[in-house]
Amino acid sequence: MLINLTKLSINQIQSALRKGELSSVDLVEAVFSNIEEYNPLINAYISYSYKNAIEDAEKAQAEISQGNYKGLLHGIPIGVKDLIHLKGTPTTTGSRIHLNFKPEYNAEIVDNLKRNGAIIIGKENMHSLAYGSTGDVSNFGPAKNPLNTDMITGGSSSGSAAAVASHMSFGSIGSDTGGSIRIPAAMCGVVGMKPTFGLVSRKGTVSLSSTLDTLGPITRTVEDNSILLDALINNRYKNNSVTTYSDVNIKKKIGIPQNFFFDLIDKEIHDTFLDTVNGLEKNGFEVIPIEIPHMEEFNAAHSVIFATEVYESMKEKLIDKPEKIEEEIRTRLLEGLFVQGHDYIRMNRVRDYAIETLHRVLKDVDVLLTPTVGSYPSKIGERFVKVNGKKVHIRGVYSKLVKLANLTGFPAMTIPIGKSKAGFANSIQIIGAPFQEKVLYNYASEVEQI
Amino acid sequence: MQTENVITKIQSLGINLEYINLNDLNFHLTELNKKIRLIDELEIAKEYVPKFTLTKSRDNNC
Repeated sequence: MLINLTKLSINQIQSALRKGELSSVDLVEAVFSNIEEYNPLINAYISYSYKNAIEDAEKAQAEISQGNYKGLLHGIPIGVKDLIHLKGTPTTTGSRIHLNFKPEYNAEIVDNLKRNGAIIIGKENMHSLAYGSTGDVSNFGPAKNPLNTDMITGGSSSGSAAAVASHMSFGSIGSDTGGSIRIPAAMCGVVGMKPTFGLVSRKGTVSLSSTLDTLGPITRTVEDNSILLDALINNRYKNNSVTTYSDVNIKKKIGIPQNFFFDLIDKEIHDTFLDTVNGLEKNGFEVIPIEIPHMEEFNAAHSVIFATEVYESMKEKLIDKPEKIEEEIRTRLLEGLFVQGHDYIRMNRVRDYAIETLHRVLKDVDVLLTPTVGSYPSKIGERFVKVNGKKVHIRGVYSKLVKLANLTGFPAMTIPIGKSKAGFANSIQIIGAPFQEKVLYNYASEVEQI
Repeated sequence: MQTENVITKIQSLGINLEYINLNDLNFHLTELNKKIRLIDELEIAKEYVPKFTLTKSRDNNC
């Protein structure tokens, strides 16, 4: 009974909570039952507090019973990536270097979640300093993929995706600088949204790259994702709710890139992607082939901007206490030391051109569809994978298809589209125009139903 | 960049080289350099004046 509760969607739960058919305390009990059983295996959480969660649940239940209803997240247990400040709880960023940092205030999004009635149950494991796409470098050990615990979750929001996929939370908040929400969500088979840059406040979070970092929700369904994003959005952008995505007007035209996105991709991933596109076509969507010029250069610009900004963010810690930063991370951090100022400026010109290009490409279509990742998860600790027999470094394949949205700031999300023959998650990425998250959710909902 | 210059630059920060995997760093710097050189060949990077921006989103309050 308790385990089954955690398989309900947020909307299903809300209905039951308001009718008095279940209580928020039941939900917390059910989630913690799963945490007790699965977290030792999956390692999705760095810290959590049953005591605090139960206290919050009792309070939420009393409020709901009295008709003091705060919204769709009222009484729902949610986890946050451990770079998001929760007052009185350490923000470790998965690294030794931040072990003793205990913030005295909440991140703005934590306050937003609490204002909407959510119960924050814990801090989720992550790739150390959020600087990696695998999720297997953490001071607390790697998060493990719930679909196959020998394999990586993807990163850097590794624990956030794993917690949602293994029913240890109803939703999680991750961050995405170069795919760090979408990659683990894709590899764990859940829904992940990187909203438009700026839509969600980053106040009270550890910054990695000031012009690329974006926070966003990870959930099991598209509808749940929209509910969680709705609670996160900055008030000044809140003209209307993104949960009303089914009402949005769309052209029913999908752009499919013809270049770059399929150059280095597992054949089974490619075939599954094409099956999904065919399914949309059968449902009345028009598929339009699109060329996006200079994609190699756009990805290069992202890499150089990322390396420069993360070095700038972390250089003092790197210089003062290099021994407290995990070896792979500290070596990567140094890349930014060797980028010259004029190169950083040129990369930002390329970024501006990428924004213009993507606006142009999206003029005639609602969204672009691509696969999210080019390869299935590797074994924990491995740094090379084979894609159609070719050995490639993971950095060249896991984040290749997702960086464009970070470089330009455009919204992008990933949705699961079934399983591979070996039982890994397949996924599809939807990229849309700035502040058009409702259009993305509308398409994601269509894909979810195929 | 020459390996000696890389080492000199790291040491100038006061970082002990024993903390750095120079082979890995060399691999990643080679990849990074390829990306920078790729942009060398892109005319747009020299003189592009943006027409469209994400103005609303680029003034993030964070």
